[in-house]
Amino acid sequence: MKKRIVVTGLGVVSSIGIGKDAFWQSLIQGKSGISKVESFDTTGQFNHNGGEIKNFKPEQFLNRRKAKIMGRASQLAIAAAKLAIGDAAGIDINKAVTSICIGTTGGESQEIEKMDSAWVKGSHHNIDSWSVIQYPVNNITSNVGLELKTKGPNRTFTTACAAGNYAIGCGFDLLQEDKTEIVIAGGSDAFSYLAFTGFNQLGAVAPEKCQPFDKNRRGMIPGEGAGMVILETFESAQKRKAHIYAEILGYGLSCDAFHMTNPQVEGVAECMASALKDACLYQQEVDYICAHGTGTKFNDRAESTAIKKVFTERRVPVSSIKSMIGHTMGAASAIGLISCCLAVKNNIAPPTINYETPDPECDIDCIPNSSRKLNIDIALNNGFAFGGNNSCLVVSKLK
Amino acid sequence: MANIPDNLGEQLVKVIADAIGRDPAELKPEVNFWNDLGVDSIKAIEIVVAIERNFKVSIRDEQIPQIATVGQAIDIVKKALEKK
Repeated sequence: MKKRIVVTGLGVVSSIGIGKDAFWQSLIQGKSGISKVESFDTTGQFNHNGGEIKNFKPEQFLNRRKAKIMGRASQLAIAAAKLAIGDAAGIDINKAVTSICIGTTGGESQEIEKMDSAWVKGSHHNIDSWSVIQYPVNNITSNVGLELKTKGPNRTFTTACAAGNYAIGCGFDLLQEDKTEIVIAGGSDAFSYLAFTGFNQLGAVAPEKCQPFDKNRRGMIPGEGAGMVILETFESAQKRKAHIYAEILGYGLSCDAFHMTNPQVEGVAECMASALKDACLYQQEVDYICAHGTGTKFNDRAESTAIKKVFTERRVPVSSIKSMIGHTMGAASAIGLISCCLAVKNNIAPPTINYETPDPECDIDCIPNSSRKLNIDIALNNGFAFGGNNSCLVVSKLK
Repeated sequence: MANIPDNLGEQLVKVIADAIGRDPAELKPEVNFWNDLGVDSIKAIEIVVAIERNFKVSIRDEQIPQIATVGQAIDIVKKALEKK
């Protein structure tokens, strides 16, 4: 029999707010965190906007010396983890076996960029040894563990835009299998020149704003962020009288095996159906979907078609928070999961902002421009990555 | 071992018929979900959820392709109930 796995702490660092309360208030008010990029020169790029977190001060979460030698993705992850732990008041992550599962797309991309820049401008002798030590992608998880002094088994997931869901799904499994007592899981990615330029070169970036499901959508807006949750069994949470946000009922994963960048409707639909199967739910029981909704022609069309393929009985309300925070890469689905937890807790679905013109190819209820009060017992959280790696988590109001 | 109802086949046919919007009379044991009823992988998963919820059994994902006919569905559910 499956154990009940619950979410007892939320930590988010985003361009619309640091901490779950600031984040949630901005989300339901439809605030945009997109602004002119300041961390590097965007001359010559198609787009000059991004979801940078301009008010993030690592020293508020970390000793200044440690913050200086650590990459930004690790700083964001540690900040989100500490916020989640603080939110799960009373939890003792050092007394229990605590595992950390983190997903990322670019790892410590800024460290790689520093090394490249030093090498290109001068020579390999100019490369800072700390960048070499810090750039490996697993360092994000390692740095969180080192800072929190947790000794449980750690895992890093590199399934790009779906990595946060993969990490949280793994945490769910670890608890099911009694391999750990507490899981700190989520995703983190720093604002990256590599990613920014890459997506610009792909022609996948919108010039000004992200307009998921809109007929005139031009693409995604790169962003950064971190989202971390505390997972434990229901019994553990009950024992310490913890505040519980939501229950994770299960998840689905699939791989399209179709195309490196274009999602395949069947693979995406099977992923959502597989999530419903894992959670033993009928399609009629889903009240809200937090979409992957990048704002690209391909994703939004495929995702809309897949949603209609799975949910044949009714129009399930769907929204894309990327319309507000941009695409936070490996953090995206983790921040989406946090949104779902707050949505089921508060019975409010966040909006898809910047929606102006309906697209017949995206004929879904995308909760345009204003958040909506509705009873949300069950929410799905979608995350679809390059390579056709798809993920869908099922979140439930605690019964 | 869970109590296996005498009319398991009849009950299962009704559950499957409801899940796919068909008349139970159409679902003979030899009827093939994929070829005869046009069930796709998404619908197949819905059928499995309906079976799991109604009969309180667990069907693993890898068993789903083995449930090609109504008769095979009855066999798998019977075996799952026998294991309980």
